[in-house]
Amino acid sequence: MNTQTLHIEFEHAEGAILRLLGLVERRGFEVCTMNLPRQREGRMNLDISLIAREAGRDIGVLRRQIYRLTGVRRVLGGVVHDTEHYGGRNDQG
Amino acid sequence: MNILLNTPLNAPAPTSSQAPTGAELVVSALRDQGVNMVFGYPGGAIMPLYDALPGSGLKHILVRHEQAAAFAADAYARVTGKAGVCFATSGPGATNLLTGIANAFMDSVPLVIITGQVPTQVMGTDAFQEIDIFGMSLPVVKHSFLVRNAKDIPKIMAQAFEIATSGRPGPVLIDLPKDIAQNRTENTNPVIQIDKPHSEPDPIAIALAESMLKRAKRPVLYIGGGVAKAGAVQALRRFNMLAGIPAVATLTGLGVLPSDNADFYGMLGMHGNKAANTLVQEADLLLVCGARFDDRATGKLDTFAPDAKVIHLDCDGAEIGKLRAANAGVQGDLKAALEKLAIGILDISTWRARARDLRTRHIFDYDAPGTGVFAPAFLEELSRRTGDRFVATCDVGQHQMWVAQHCHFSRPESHLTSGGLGAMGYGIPAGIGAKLAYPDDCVVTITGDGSIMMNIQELATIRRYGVGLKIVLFDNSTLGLVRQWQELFFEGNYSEIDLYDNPDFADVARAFGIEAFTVSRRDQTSAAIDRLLRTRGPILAHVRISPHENVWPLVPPGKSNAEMMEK
Repeated sequence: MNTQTLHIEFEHAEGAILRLLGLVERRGFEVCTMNLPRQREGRMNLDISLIAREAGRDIGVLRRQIYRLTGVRRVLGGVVHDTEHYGGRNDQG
Repeated sequence: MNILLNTPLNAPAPTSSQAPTGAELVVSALRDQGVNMVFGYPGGAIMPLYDALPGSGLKHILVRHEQAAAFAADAYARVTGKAGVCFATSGPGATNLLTGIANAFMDSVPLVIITGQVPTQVMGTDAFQEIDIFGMSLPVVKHSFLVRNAKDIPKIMAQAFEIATSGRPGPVLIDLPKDIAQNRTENTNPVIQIDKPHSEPDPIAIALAESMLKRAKRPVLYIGGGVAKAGAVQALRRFNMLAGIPAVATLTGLGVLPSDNADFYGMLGMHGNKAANTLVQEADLLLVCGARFDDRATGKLDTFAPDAKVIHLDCDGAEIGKLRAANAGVQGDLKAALEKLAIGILDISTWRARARDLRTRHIFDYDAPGTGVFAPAFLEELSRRTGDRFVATCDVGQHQMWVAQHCHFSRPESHLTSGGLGAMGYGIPAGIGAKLAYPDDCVVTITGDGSIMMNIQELATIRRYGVGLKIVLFDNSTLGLVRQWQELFFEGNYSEIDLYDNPDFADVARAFGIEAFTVSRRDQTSAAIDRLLRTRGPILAHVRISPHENVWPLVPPGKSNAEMMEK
């Protein structure tokens, strides 16, 4: 399985990093590397490379699971091929 | 009875000229949100909040275990559509809430949970009753806050209610350190609006869905719990009154279409109706509304509805494509999506005739052998005679499946069940929450002799508040669903399922001050229901049933829904 990279922009808040990384792990992905440069006005970026622990785990679904977290502004990256036509927000990216 | 609930609150609202404490800000925010009832249990770290309660106008229901507070608030939320609220103290009080929080998370129920926490200066020192409930609950909350400054309380409270009730609902936890609750503060930070946008259904996706529906020869409408939570029940009913698509529902989607709707074929899945499962397996299109392809509904996923394309409508984009790829995914407001779908009358008369034929061939049989009480027939009669006021709050086990299969539901709020988590012990606290929310409804807790023992202490809460809850306890002196699986799938190796030494449950109920009676013969069924329905106060019917009765039909675990066993 290929390593994929996600770029996540989120509001800095207590527990936000734990919440993000916990979700990624629970949904069946292994975090390979991560970079956490702090940015302005309480916004943070998290760049993570990750790999699915088993086949059938779709990065597109994970992206949307991350995006629905309160405080997450944008999720970019990953190769998505889960839905023929997805009529929803994908910026997600 | 009903003494405490009707007693005027005994202290005037605070008139102090002092700045409010953090706890008073919490109470004030709850009132601003329109909350009038909370469920909880006091303890050390949350004492400042309890100190602020008298005279606040909030009705506090004192349960006997924190788990029951969460379950009762959950049911209150399910029937009212508003966020349920519960309190507990730090440490064990907070950990006791976790099962209830997880239950709300799995079934997308809006809860606001307020836990006391040790003072900030000792947090992280293993102080008495210190537990990191913020960290422990992360996987089972929609969001959570740890209050670091009393000035933030109004903002946090407003955000918590907005997050809990918007989009896909869920539980939000607020951990409140004792010193923050006690501190007085002059100025509070302003309440801010959450700016995550609500997306309207994508017109291109809607057009694609319409095109697919018009081409379909064997469409099935697949209804999940998300329809009611989105306030889309009437929109769905109007849509299908015109479209006439054969419909099935998940466990939490029951009641969206009334049980007697001509196009409704019952529950799909492991203990669903054979007609419903067959329709789904033969379908060439699934119109999935507010459902998440739960494994109990789909059976073996890669054999589920093998010929069907999928249109998936859901407010939560993360559910679209999670388990079954969608050919058209429509994220957004379900009500709007259903109102925008304009498909006119479909040419599916042959398919509808096939559906009607399946219904006839797989109708449930209530003519069971023997003279003992037959639980499915008992439940069918009870719900039919109660009518539209019927609300079932289920525990977990065989009785839960019999309720889903045999009760008549005219609205989704009439069936409260622990769907995703499957938490034994839900039934009685849920019954309390539902009955307190809507006292005029006929709320019946359906429980088993295993489940009732998980929260039997709440009989004291029923007695204290005079909650007119009816309890039907099916007692087979065994953990029935586990026994059934051991019989069918573990070669009859019965292991730790025998509850032969149960107490006399009618005596137990009477010891709590609740009217109770026992029946064991089938010819007592109608009289037992008569007594249940005419009794205004709380009552428990202890119904002895055969330990050998199984729930049929059944899809064996890990098998395809096409392999349903009928006996």
